[in-house]
Amino acid sequence: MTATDPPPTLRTASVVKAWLTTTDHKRIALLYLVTILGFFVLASLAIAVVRVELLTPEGDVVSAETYNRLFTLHGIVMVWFFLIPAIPTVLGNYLLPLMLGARELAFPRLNLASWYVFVAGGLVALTAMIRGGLDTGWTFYAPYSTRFSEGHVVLTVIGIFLAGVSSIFTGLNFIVTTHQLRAPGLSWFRLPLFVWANYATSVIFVLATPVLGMTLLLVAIERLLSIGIFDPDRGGDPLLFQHFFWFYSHPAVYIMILPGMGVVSEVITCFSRRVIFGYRYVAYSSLAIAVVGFFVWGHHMFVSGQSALGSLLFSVLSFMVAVPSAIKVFSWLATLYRGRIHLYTPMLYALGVVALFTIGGLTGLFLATLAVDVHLHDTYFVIAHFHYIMVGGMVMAFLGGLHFWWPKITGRMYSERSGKVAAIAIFVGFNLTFFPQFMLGVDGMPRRYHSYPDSYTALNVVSSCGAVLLAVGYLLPLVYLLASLRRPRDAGDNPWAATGLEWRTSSPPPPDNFEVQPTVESPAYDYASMPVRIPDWIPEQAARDPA
Amino acid sequence: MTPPTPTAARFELLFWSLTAICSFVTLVVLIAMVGLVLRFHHARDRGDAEPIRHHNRYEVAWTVVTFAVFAGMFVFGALAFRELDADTRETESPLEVSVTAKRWMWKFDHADGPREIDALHVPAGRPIRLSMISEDVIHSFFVPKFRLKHDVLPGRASTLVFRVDTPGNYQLLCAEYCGLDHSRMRGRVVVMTPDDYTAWRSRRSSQPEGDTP
Repeated sequence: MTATDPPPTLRTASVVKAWLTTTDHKRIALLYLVTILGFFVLASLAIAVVRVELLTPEGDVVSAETYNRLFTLHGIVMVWFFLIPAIPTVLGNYLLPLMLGARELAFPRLNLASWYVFVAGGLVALTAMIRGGLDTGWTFYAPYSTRFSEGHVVLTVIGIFLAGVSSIFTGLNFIVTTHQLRAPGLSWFRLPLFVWANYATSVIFVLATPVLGMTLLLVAIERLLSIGIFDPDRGGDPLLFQHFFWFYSHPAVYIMILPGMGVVSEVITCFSRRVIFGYRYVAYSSLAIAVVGFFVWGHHMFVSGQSALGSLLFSVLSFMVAVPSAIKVFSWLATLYRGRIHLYTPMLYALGVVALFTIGGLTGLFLATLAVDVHLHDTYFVIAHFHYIMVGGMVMAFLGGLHFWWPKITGRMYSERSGKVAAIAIFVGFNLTFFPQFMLGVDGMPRRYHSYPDSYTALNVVSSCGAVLLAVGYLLPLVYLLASLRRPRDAGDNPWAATGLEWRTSSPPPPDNFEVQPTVESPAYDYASMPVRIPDWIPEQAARDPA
Repeated sequence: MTPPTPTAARFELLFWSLTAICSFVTLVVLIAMVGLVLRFHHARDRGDAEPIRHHNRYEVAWTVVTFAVFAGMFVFGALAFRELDADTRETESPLEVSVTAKRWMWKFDHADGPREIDALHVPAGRPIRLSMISEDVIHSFFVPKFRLKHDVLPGRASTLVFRVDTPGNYQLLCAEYCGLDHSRMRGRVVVMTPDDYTAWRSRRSSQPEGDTP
């Protein structure tokens, strides 16, 4: 800094301005990080009240109306303002150009625009929530959403529409970047699997999100103008809504999990010190999931009255889409074989994801099995199943990735011991919260119940207690990651001795990412050329650390 | 407890078979993971054995086996579903009941007799055919013990056929979110022996509007 620096107040203003007008993908990623964490906290608080309500069978903590608005808020905010953007817009934004050896994304200003559109969408949705929210559930089923609900449906729908536009911007940017900005020598089959996963996700972003936007606009049109589209009293068809909605929302599930799978592939290879087993199978399985995922939406409608033949086809396709997921799990396990395994925090998360995703995936087969789904549909079994995928898979992978790349992003190492404690608390708390919900579902407890028959009490109490542990587990990283920012930047460029291009630049990377354009001479995960052990200074530092 | 309906019996068999297979696979994955982590922990010397990049035979094998197991699950689930569907279309001389769902109650109209609210009395051992329609939003007729549910839509009749073999009181729930009192849109299906049912019918024809057990 020189003597010509502006005075401190002016400098603060210019720092804020610099961040808000940045086109640096790394800074935009951090803007996204702060934004989506805010939404995560909001949606978590909403569900905390729900879990307290469910401690007793009677509806005695909040009114039914409040309860319905709380779970709706939880679903909408978690799905569209946290889970869908989480890994692509934070880790993807930060890492994609670095992993490709590029200076930037293909369209830096479009990237900044995506954040502004996302924030605008979030503010519109928040305005709707503050003005009283809505009670449709995140699924907006018609005709309830178009005629009967008294909440702020239209406003919320506009907010989600904007978030969708932002997703399309991001997807487009990632696709073009991956095609155009790969470093010399970085051919498609040398790409890190995290890039493959984000590429597959981006394809879904671009192809599926417009259908969501259209569907939500139709809901708004029917609600505002009374034009019959979904409402049978006005000549519409409520099943049409479900087809449209799930045509987007089932692929959206893969938007949420595919980037997490990419993180797992990066972390498991690094902490096993070896190449991924079956690179091409893992890479192609991401594309297979993205493509086949478009043809399974009808498994949400087995008891809706859709044609029996349709149900049969959707059932068989749903089983097919599970095959590439199974291939990934087997490949990750085979990657451990003959590795040199290091159990640092990111690895604990990655192994946790493999375990929980296995359970989440296999319970999905129950729901794909026609005669079994007839009973389990719309019960807590479904809630447990998709939380094993969304929270056990996606949120755990997001945290694992955040820990893995934290030294790259900040230049600092966090307290390893606190990291392990948090990872274990989250794993145990998660299972305590959601495993009982499988049993509730088998017993027949429907979802979205404010009060419930007495026989479901015990399992609900266990679930609510588990949620306390889960919440503590989530608070810990917030504390020790923030605390790490007060340390000197001593993590080094490559503390894990990992192979990706992102580790070949400084931590944090300079504005243009690389001093010299990197080139690639070897396949991904070439750990044979790296030290077989991760350098020892990390545990030493953790021992020094009082936390 | 024995399943009260043939549908429930089919569900139990399928559900527990799936549970057995999936628990087995989960255990194998978890044991393999823990075993591999312990065996190949960096603190243990594993000699100089090189990692395997890929192995086509294994990759093809686990793809094919997964595919085959999933195909088996699909077939059994589909067969049971087809029986359910066949019940709905082909059952002869069932007892006909019209069901009207509205926020937040169930109304039952027996073909040639009584009307009831939030309770449905039926005889054991005889097929019952429900023709269901909603007056407002989508509801779902769900009797957990029968392992049976079907959505009830406005503007479009849905049909559900079932037969209960064991007399008793069974909880009826609404499974499709329908607004404010969704969780209180409950009722019961009272399954009676044929004799009790006949007695109930004659009692009800003398005093048409009361709700007797």
